[in-house]
Formats: sequence, C-alpha cells, structure tokens
Amino acid sequence: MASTSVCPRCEQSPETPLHLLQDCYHSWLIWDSTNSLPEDFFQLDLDPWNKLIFEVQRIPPLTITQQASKLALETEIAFEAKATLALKTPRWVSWTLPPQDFLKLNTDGSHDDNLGNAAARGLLRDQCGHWHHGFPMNVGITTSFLAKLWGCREGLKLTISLGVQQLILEIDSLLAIQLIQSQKSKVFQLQIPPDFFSSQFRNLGISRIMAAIAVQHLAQSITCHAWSPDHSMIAFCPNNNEVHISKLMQEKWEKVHVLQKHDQIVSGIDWSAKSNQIVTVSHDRNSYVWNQEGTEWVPTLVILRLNRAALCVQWSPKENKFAVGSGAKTVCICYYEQENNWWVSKLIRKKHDSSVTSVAWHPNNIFLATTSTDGKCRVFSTFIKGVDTRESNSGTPDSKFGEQIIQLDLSFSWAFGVKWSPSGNTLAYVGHNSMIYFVDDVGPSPLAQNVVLRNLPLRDVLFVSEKMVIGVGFDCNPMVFAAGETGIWSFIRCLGERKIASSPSKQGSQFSEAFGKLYGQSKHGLSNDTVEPSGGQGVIHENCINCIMPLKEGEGTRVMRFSTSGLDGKVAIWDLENQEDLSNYL
Amino acid sequence: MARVEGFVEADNAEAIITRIEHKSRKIESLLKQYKPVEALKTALEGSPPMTRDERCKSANWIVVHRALMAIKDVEGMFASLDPEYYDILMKYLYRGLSTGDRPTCEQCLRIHEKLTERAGLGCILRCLADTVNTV
Repeated sequence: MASTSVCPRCEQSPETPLHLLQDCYHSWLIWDSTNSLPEDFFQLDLDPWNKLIFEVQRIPPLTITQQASKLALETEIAFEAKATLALKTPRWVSWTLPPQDFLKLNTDGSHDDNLGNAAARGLLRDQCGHWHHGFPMNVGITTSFLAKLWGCREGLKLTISLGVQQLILEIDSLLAIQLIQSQKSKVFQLQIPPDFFSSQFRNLGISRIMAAIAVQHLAQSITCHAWSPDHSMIAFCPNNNEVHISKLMQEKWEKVHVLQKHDQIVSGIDWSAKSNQIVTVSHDRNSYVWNQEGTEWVPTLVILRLNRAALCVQWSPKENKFAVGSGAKTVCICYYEQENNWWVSKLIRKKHDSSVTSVAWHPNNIFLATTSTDGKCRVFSTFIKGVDTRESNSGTPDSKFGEQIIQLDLSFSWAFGVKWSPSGNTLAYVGHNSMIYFVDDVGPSPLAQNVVLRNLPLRDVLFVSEKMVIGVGFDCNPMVFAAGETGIWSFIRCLGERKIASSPSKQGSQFSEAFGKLYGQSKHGLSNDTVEPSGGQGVIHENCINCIMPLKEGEGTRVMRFSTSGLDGKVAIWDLENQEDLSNYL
Repeated sequence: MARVEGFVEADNAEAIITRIEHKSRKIESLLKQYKPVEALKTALEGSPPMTRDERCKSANWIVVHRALMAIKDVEGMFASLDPEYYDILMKYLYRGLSTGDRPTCEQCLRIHEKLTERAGLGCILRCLADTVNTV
C-alpha cells in the first residue's frame, strides 16, 4: 500500500490508470518513440484511448512492448555499470607541495542532481602550502564535467592575471586533463590563445595519481629488504637477528621461511637475480650465503675477517663476487673458490678513515664505489685473478685489487647511499647535511654537482634511469631528482604525501612538534592544512626510509617500479608509470 | 665545493682584522645609503674568517651583527637575498641566539622563522654539519 496517491515515478499527479498508462512522463517517453500517433492521442479519455490502441491498430503493440523492454534493459545495464564502477580499486590521490618556485592550482566543479545548478571553486597555493588566491564561481545549469572545466578555465585566467610563470594544475578528471592536453577544447578558446599551454607557462605539469601502489606493514621495524628474482618473495630483517622471507599469496603476505643463523641484527640482505642466492651480513661480523635446496634455505658461512660490524652488502653484476662494507673501516670482496668449496674474503684495508656505510658495483663488475662516515666517496678496483678476466676489464688498464681510482671530497659530514647510473657514467650519493651529490665522468677529471635539499637528509638513492634518481631518507617521503637537457641535476618533487605536522602519536612528527612550540602552535600549520581530509591514508612511511630496491622487469635499464622499507616496518611499492610529469626523464 | 686547506695561521690574524675593518667601513656606508640588504650581503660574503682565532671571530661577528640588526623589513630582505646566502645566514643566526642578548635574540628569531619557512629544515642541518665556515 502506498502512503499517498501521487505517482511514485514522476511524483507530479495522482496515480490514476489514465496517468499511469498515458500521461506520466515516463509512459509518454515510450509512446512518443513511435512516430505515428494521432494528434489528439494524449487528450483522449481512457475508453476511446483504449479503443484507439487495441482496435484501430494504428500502432503495433509489439513496437511498444519492445520499446518498453529496451528501456528497462538500458536501466539495468546502467545500474550494473555503476556496480562494477564501485568495484574498481581505489587510487590514492592526495595533495603534495609543489616544487620550489611553483604554484599549485586545484580546481573542482560539481552540480545539484542531474542538470542542476552547478558551481566551481579553485585554490592557488604556494610551495609552502600557504593560501595564495582562491575563487568560487557560479556556472549555471550544466553537468559536473563542464563545471570542472569551467573551474579550470577560471583558475587559469586568474593565474594569468597574476602573472604566474610556473604552475601545476591539479584536477580530478582524467577526461578533462586529456581534453586540455589535446588543446582542442572549445572551453579554453574564449580567452586563452591556442598556444597558451606551451608559451604562457614554462612548465605545466598535471599530476593526479599517487605513485605508491601497495603498502604492507610487515614488522615493527625493518632494517633492510631484498626481492627474489621474480619479485614473488621478499626477504627482510625485522630489526633482529632473523631474516624473514614472505610470499604474496591471495593478496596477503605469508611468512614462508625464517633464516636463523646470525647472532645480532642483520644489516644487509641481497638476493642475486640469476643464481637465486641470498647473502646476508650482520653486526655479528659474519656473512652467510643461502642456497635453496628443495624447500630449505641452506646457509654457508663466509668468514669476513672483520673486528667490527658488517653494515651493507651487494652482489656484483655478474654475481661471482659480493662486497661488504663494515664498521672496521674495511671493505670485504668475497668470491667463491671452487676447489676448496669455500667463500674467500679479500679485504681493502687502510683506505677509509671511518665506517663504510654503503657499497655499489659499477656495471663493469670491477669498480666498486663506497661511502663512509668520514664524508668521502671512493671508487676502488676489485680485480681478482682467476675470478675476473682482463677482457672484462677493458678501459681500466692494470688496476690491481684494492687500488683507489678516485676519492671524492664533496661532503664534510657522513656520506650514505651510493649508486651508479645504469651505464656507470654517473655516481650519486648523499650527505648527512641534507645534500645529494652527482658525479659525472668518474675518472681523472670528474664533474661534480651538489643539490641542496629543503628537507631532512637522505639515507639511500636509486637510479631509475640515466637521468632520474629517487632519494629516500629521514623525510619519510621519496624525492625525485632529475637531470635536465643541460645535464644539471635538480630536485623535481616528492613522490608521496607530506607527513602531517601535529599528530603526537607519530614518531616522525616529534621534530615538527618542537618547532610548533618554538613559534607558537598556531603558526605552524605549515603542512597541516595542506593535507586533504583523507590525508592520514596518504602517508606512506611514518618514519625514516632506509632502504630502496629496484623492481626490474626484463633486461632493460629503466626501473619503473621500486620498493622502499623503513623504520616504521612498512614496505611500499611505487610505480612511476602514471606520473606524467616525470615521464620525460625516464 | 672547494676543499679548504686547513685554517689560516694565527700570525695571519692581523691581515684578517684589516680585512674585517675594511668590510666594516663598507657596511657603514651602505647603511648610511639605506641599503640594509646590500650591507647584509657584504657582511655574509667572504665573511667566515677561516680561523680559530677568537679575536678575529668576534671582530667579524660585531660587523655581521651590525648588519643583521639593521634589517627592519624581514620579508623585503628575503625578496632580494639569493638562496646561496641562506646557509651561512642561518649559521650567524644561531651565533646570535647563543649570545643571549635580548634584542639580538628577538631579531634573530624573527629572521629565523622566515628563513626556516623558505629554506626548510635542510638549511638548519647544513649549518649544524658545517665544519668549514667558522663564525
């Protein structure tokens, strides 16, 4: 029983049989679709109307029923489409600070019901996230999509009138972005010249999709991690003497192995891509090489001959050697001796003045770069007779084992995280004084550049291509650096969300809290008000990131995906595929 | 970044003092012409005396302090001060804060706030880690 007599479909007149069959808007739609109606069709009473339909036979009843069922089917499909739409995996879209000297414009539009009153709004913020300008506008009656475009247009008009030179525009409609980029949109022809997007703004980046595609909380804290050759398994150290191997099974990470042999914290793990061997080093001064035999991982002890903790490890590109950096101011180069069935460790001594924090192999399998807490970055030759052949050593005449090729004195504080570019032409490493160093033409006359960071220092770096580097560290947010056409390296932007300033539960914010006290809490809303309401979800790492690993697909030198792990116990996988503004450098 | 070959010997102290006196005169004349930002730039330029000699360091600080205190419009100063001065300015601000003198501290905190907004925490870290410039 209905509570009122009003037609539930159009809610406009009483629901009489005549209304239901003839006058209601929805019925009228069906009748109107047949072209051969008499003029007085909608004025007739029920009886003559019935006669007209069923006796005069001017309208074939079949057409009407077909029409009705077609409409019903359309409705059903529309609803189904809506249901599948909702099942799509959500993407995180969040607001990040624009790079230095950029302004960021966010606009959006919306409307009441279908074809109701629409409005658009926009917000222009500077590199600190401070409000610069804003506007609301009434669009009239239109759809959401057009309202979004109107918002864009109004926002761009505003930025032109302000004389803004470098802008990032953010909107949440991919269609609108494509329309703007194609420069064919009529909306934009009104006031803006056709070549506007190439001339007016020197740099118009449109970013919208968060780069992190998966985040997994695996432990309380993670010291390091490494991936199996096919990326199906991850080995990580949960800040103790064990190494856990987890496998992705039905969208969940399941622990499949625990490697227990070390006595103290495991400080380095590397998993060789071709030979499927895992090497681990620990503060207990030892190293193990793990081989998979059946379902078990069998360890082989490597005596490093160290008197201090081992800090880092990496397999050489050919996987016949691995290098270990240590707190004993020493680097160990380990190789396998077939006849003795034994891993031998050769030491590079008396070259470092302090702990070796990171090691990186040159693609030629001979050169090894190291960083140390004496602030220096050094490159050594690791040629070992019987393991390396002179042919593979071409271009590096007669460099003996342990010979220092170059010493870089760029940093005056601790140096961390050294890496070679895929070709081996460029070297990047970071200093604990919030600097990152890039060295081209490593050899007798190197070309050094340094880039000053705005935020806290980095711990590790990764070359994703010849021209692009990702840095991770104490700022909890991966930073992108790239070399322009002139070869000058510069900071591009952060990949993730800025961390929220005032949330006492989070460890990473202690520093900001102290700052808030220094200047009065209210003033330090610096990054607080820039985070979207759902911002808490957008924070990927909540503590220092200390490890970044590439997820290489195939033989190419480009790395589109990589993973980061940190002291917050999370492992995040990042994808650069949809970062339009970065694709130039990849 | 150039490698600094040790610190200047103590017997060079007289030469350094002469240089600082020269700089001081230049700053005074700039201040008379109402160019406080130019004066500050002069004070920051080549200012680290590269010596552990306390007499030189305090003579230099007096000059920089004079230029710092002359800044009235902090926002205006940053509009014309290039980013390469930020790190060394931060270092002098901490020197100023360490004096404990009330007007100096107030002025330094005022600039510190704006400088941190502009140059970020990285700037503070660099000035903490800096072992080359003695101020």
